[in-house]
Amino acid sequence: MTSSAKTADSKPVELDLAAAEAMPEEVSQWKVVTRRLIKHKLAVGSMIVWAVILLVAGLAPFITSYKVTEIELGQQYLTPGARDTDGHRIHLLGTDQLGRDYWTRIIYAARISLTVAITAQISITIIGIVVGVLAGYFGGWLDAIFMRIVEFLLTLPPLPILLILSSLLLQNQEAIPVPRILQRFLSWLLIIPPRDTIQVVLLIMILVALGWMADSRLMRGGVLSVKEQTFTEAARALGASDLRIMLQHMVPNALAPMIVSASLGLGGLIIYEAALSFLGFGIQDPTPTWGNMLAAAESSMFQFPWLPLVSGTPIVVCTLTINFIGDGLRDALDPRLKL
Amino acid sequence: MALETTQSNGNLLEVRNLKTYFYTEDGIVKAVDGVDFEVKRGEVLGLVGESGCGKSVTSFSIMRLVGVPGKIIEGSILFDGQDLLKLSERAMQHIRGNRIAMIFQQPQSSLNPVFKAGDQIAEVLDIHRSLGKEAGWQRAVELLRMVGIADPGRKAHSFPHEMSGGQAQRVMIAMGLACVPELLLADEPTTALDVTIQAQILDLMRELRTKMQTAIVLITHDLGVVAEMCERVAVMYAGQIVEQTEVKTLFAEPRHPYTQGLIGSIPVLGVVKGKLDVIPGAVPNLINLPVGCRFAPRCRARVQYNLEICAQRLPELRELRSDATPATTHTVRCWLYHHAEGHTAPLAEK
Repeated sequence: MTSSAKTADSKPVELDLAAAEAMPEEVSQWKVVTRRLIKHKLAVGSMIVWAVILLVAGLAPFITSYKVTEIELGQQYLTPGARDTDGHRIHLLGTDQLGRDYWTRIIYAARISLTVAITAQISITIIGIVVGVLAGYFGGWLDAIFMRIVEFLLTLPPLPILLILSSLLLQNQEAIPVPRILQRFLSWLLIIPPRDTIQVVLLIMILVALGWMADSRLMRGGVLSVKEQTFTEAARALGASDLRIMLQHMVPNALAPMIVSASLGLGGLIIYEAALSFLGFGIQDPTPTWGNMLAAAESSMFQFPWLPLVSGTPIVVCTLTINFIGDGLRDALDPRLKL
Repeated sequence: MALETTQSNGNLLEVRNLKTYFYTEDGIVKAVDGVDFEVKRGEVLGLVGESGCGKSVTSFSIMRLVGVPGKIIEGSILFDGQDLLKLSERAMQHIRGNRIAMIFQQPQSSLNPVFKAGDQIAEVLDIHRSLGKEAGWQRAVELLRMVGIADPGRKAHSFPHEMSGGQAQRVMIAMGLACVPELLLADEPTTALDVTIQAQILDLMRELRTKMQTAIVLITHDLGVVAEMCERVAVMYAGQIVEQTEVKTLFAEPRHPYTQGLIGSIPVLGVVKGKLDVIPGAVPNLINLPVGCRFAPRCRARVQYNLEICAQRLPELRELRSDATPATTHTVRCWLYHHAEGHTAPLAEK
């Protein structure tokens, strides 16, 4: 109450300013976004689907009693629901060409396929933000150099380049230095032998190398429009340094499209990873991925039609749902739709 | 010592022969073309003129925030004895927001839309005072209370889009004054606000000035605001100062035909006029400026006194002796008052 007394000194008539300046209930940006996102039924459903997939992938060793590389001779191409040789365990989705439990391989493959796609997408987004902010904020020759590189890389057809790169690198994978600690970590995370993790790292690097351009352009565009707004000028007038302006004022204001782009891009990366593995240039058997399982199923698809269906389904479901999530996010983050 | 000399004559800011040009595709825009003025400690100087006369560019030049394609090509800006134009960018960052602050015309777009008001004020304190989050926030709430925001503790949590224009401008003022600057550049601080809010903001600025002893350069095109707020006024036209004097003198005895035109075009309450006086024409293109006096093409006095020199030579800003108030300095850039070779000024004092 000291405050009202203080202002009363300078102003003879003190009005109830709290009432006069009362504004509608204050809601933070993120609350608004969350509220809008929840209204988007497809996005919410898709997020639940993703949560289930991630949960199953994360708990894979506890969900299935089979090992991922457990081969049972004479048990090849069992139909879904068939019983094990000892008759105790069920092969939920049958077995593959080597008699490995298909359900087990699908959920272990989810760990690998999703780790590759998510890690690659996070790296792409980070590179996109860094390059985009630097190019957009500083402009001039830095911008020119970055954008010419981006344009050059965008003119390259991605799939052939991916194929060439991955065939070159996968043939010489022993020559590629991957830190021991990273190998150990991936080996633990993906439940594969440490030497097989090199393929995973390579694939991520290839996907990132050819995927960062669109995002950096998007970020640059956002930064260019933010840069023209008065608050950037105001921040500078308050003595903010370039770094502070970039981190505090540019990035948060240009982030919304990046979030949408990241979620949509994730779907694309899942498909790219599957495509590469399908064509035999990605991660190789015995490490399971949805792509190389689909490739293996393809040769026998007329005798055992459920195999490609089963291994193709998670690719379709993940890609479709992540697109719905992206759509939901785009609507929720759209500044023109104020609640 | 330069520092002592400026302090002894009481000038906080001395702008000398400032020239800021913009190098555009169409040519060189001479937005500020030889501006001189000074601001004493704790003084309010009004910088008046039409849109596009270089008022804002002058203030941006003082802050050294003129961006490409603009460039400060000449002059000096002495602030407390230091030439700001010779400082490193680092040193300049330390001055901006700390010793010289600036508030803008569009309060709502001058605030970062993704941060709370409190955080934005705390940011200034973090930059210049290295106050931590907690202390910065508390100080921000205090500042919000000081600028007359009701319920500052709650309002500090609101985002710019949840604030009205007046509230946003109060927040901007709080940000500007957070480090108790010696100089505040207010670039049309009330232009975007309703009339009632304008009056409140002006009251607030005046109150805070007495409290903090901050000198203010008030940039405006509103002579009413000048009359209410300022002690001295500089009238700008086409990148130059054409008249500079005390507020009372300016309104009582405007000398430059442009100033006379500006004052004549204010509607006076209670006086019935068929039409307001207008200054014919518009501000000249700042790329192709007239050779002589920049106001000559629009000047009625030139026609009335049949002056030829106006179209040929640019008059200088020279002092006038005023009979009514001999103590005040009154400078005018007009051939009506200044003799030259082959030119006898019709209104020159003896």
